[in-house]
Amino acid sequence: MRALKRMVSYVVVFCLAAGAYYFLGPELGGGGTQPSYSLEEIPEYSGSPYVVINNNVPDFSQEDLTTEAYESYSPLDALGRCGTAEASIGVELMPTEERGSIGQVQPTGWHTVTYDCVDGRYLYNRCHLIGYQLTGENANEENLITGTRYLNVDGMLPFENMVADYITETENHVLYRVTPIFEGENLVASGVVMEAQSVEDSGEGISFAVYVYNVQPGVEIDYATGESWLAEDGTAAQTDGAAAA
Amino acid sequence: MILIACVDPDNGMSFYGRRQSRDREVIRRIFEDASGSRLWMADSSYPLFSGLDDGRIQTAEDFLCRAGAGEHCFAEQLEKLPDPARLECVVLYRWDKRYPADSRFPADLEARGWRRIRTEAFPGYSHKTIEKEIYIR
Repeated sequence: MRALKRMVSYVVVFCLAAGAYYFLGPELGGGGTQPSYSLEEIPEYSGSPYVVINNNVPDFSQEDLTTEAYESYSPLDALGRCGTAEASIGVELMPTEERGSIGQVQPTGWHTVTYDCVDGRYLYNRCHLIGYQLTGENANEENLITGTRYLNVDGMLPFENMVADYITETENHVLYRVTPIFEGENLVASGVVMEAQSVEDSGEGISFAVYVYNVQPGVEIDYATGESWLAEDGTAAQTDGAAAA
Repeated sequence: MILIACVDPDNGMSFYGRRQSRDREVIRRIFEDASGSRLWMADSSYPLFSGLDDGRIQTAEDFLCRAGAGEHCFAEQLEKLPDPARLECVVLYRWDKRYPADSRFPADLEARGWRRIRTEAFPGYSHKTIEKEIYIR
């Protein structure tokens, strides 16, 4: 068991000129277009798919807030992992077509594995950092991580829904940033930081900063490799297409 | 008093003081439901209805205390159900999607003796299907 609380910190600097970025934190890494804030304490997962961080205040500056729509994805790092994805989302970025296939993308740590205790049986989803319903990004490898079904559906989707409805109804913009958090050289993210703020009303409609756990109740995960097993007795997964699937 | 609220499938209402969702078709229907009576709400809810207001909307922070018999109240924050002696009917508009929540509708109505007498599904503007549930004692 991990300690109840673990101290984590990360600072990410994105170097446009060199086309590379550096991880300065001792434990966690993730890409980013801006230096990010320190994440001092993440409580151990205790039944809620997400936890509020930074008093629910996203770490955007006034200069970040723009009514001009854009989207930006970090280049994959040396291990092939995603970094920060950020967008100023308006109706002009939202998709007008149904989502296409994304099965050709193999995010780091990917395994095709099923459990009866998982909704839909598949433990892992190719999990959009910025959801398809927000920017229409389909099979963009810089926007897809290996995420549990629980992360995808119970953790991230409710926040994406809140943002998508707000934009559709108001035609305002929302600055939106998702940062996957990898411990050391793990191939599977421990979780994601989601931040959002509505622009035209200065956060009156949308404002949140949360950490969403990349866990699956009933299943243990080796975040270094993506291997997994049932939590109760350590029984191997029922189906495993392995990382090369 | 007729209490109106919007909830998600888990009875969520808001997250850190912000409404979970909105839908202009729901707003139109709520205003229509209250035709012929006053429609009470908090100041923070008024912008949702400002384009429809024909003078029937009343705002007050204590609107749940001030609404009279037969008058409609649209509540986006509820710590507890209003006095049952004054509460004639509850109307819930239920979203078809889940949202983050730290505030939920404060009662299991059917466990408290309320009966659902009607459910109506309709398409919204930003929701495929919204259900309107009507409860009486």
